[in-house]
Amino acid sequence: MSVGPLLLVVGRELLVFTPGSRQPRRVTLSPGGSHEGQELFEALASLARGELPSRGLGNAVGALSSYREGPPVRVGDRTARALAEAAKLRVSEASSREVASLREALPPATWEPDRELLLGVAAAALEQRLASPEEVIITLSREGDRLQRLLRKEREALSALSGAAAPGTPVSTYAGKAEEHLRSLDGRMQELDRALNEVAVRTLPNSSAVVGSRTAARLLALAGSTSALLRLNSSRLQVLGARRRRPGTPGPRHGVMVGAEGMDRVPPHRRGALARSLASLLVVAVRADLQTQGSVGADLVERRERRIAALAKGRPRRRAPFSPPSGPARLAEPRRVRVAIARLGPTRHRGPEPSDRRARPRTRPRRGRWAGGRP
Amino acid sequence: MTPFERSRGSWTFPFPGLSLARSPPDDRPTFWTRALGETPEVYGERLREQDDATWRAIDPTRSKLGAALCKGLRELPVPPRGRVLYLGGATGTTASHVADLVGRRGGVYVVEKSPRPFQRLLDVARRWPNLFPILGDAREPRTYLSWVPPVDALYLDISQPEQAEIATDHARLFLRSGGGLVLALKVPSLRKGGGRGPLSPAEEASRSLSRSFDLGPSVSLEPFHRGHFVITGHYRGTGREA
Repeated sequence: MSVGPLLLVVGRELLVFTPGSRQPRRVTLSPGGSHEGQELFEALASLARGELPSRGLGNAVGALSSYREGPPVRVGDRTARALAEAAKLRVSEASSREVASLREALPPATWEPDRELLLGVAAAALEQRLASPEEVIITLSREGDRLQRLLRKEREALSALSGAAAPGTPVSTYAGKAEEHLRSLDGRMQELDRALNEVAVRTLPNSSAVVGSRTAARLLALAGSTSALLRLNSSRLQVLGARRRRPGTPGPRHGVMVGAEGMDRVPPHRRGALARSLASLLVVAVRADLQTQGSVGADLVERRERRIAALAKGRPRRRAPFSPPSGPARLAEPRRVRVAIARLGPTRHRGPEPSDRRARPRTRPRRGRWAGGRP
Repeated sequence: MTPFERSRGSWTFPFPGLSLARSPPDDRPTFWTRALGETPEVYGERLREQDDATWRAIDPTRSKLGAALCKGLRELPVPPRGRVLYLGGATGTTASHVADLVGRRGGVYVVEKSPRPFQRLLDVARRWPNLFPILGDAREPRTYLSWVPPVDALYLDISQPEQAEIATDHARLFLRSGGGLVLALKVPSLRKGGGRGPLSPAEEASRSLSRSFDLGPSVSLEPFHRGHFVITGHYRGTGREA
């Protein structure tokens, strides 16, 4: 049985090892444009991801097309594979052992590090990765959160200053500057919101309709990637971004979902219920956005509005505010006794004093700082 | 003996040929590497000027290699002027120290998967003449095969359940026989799915490593990094794999 040639890419060169001959045939990769360097870097970065660059490496593909007849070629690395596939060759993967021995037999000069190429390809690959809409949303959303924290601090600082800022004093001049700075930060925040809204509405149209673009973007940023977001179920989405709580207390009702569209239209004690409903709508929306490219936003918004209307009309708060169980005795009470105690009203049913709380032993070891965080 | 007296003493070089210095006190030593970067500071480490060279202290709480050295790592299988393939470079904290170790004539090829830490790594690599960053996934070595030469040592700091297999795969493709291995093993990351075998996950990992490497003793990184070990070893080579 005849064996096909073996292809390896080393730096800027494509090496073709024909069986039987010791010396490989060398083809220098070149996109043949005016900005050689940058285009070569971008082309190599895309090839390594298994994608053909928009401007193909024509000379290498041309040189490979002569191997179309004959046995399938064997490829060592991903770049060689992508080139061979572009030349429409039949391809199989070469074994690690063979690849390693061929590489080690190459003259040492082959391995002089090509710093410019490596740094260029790395920068191009980074640019390609961060340019995807998913990464753009994550970048903007994190920057937005940072900016929001900064704005809050600046506002606090300014209000602290303004008390001391009698006109004509150095403090007032400084406070004027600080106010100017705050205004410019505000402008930046608006600019960022606009940019984020634009890309989020384009990539996550249904989710943005259900919870608003800012919250949809935050959820994506917290999940870390679109695939991680798809793996989250409704209950995880509901509490994504919530802080880890002390064991023994009830779980969080919502995380970043608290900033969702419509949250401000329901009474505070019903926000957990709305977060739960929104999360279950969002699961559908995320799948429509990222998998089926369907358009279910209008229907989901309608259901959200019905739910908000029901919650806003609302029932009065029935339960007493939560109080953590203060020991085994409280837990041992049967349900009907606990209900009876609860009926006695808030005066007989206060939570334990803070000192009691600390004295109570922790039931589980504290682990991690976030309940939501990562899937 | 007062603490002051105890802190006197001279610097030593525990691994001949490597630009790695150890400074007293002996019970809590500091390890230093000679900086090759133009602006030497990478992560807020301590710096020290000596005979027109800048030395950078390795922070054991930031770097697993630093922690292993402080815990008495006997052997560091990274040859002077050697080439190192470094998987899991993150922001380049430890990678820059490894680049210092091998010196200007060596080279460190750093693979990192996640784009955001990679930005920092790229910044460091632009300043370090022998540090080469690669944005790639260690589970797919063939995506960066064309940029990484055959290497003399392999440094792994990836928290993956299959890190032993990843080490073996890379050794087969990149490492010359007899080449060194430094592996930071994160026990909580092993066997995430939670199968229950007779061996502990760490034992299983080291057993699977010892099929292709001659392993030295492992060093626990407590209290600097919880649940972490550093294992060193030498590659037996493709011919003699069991």
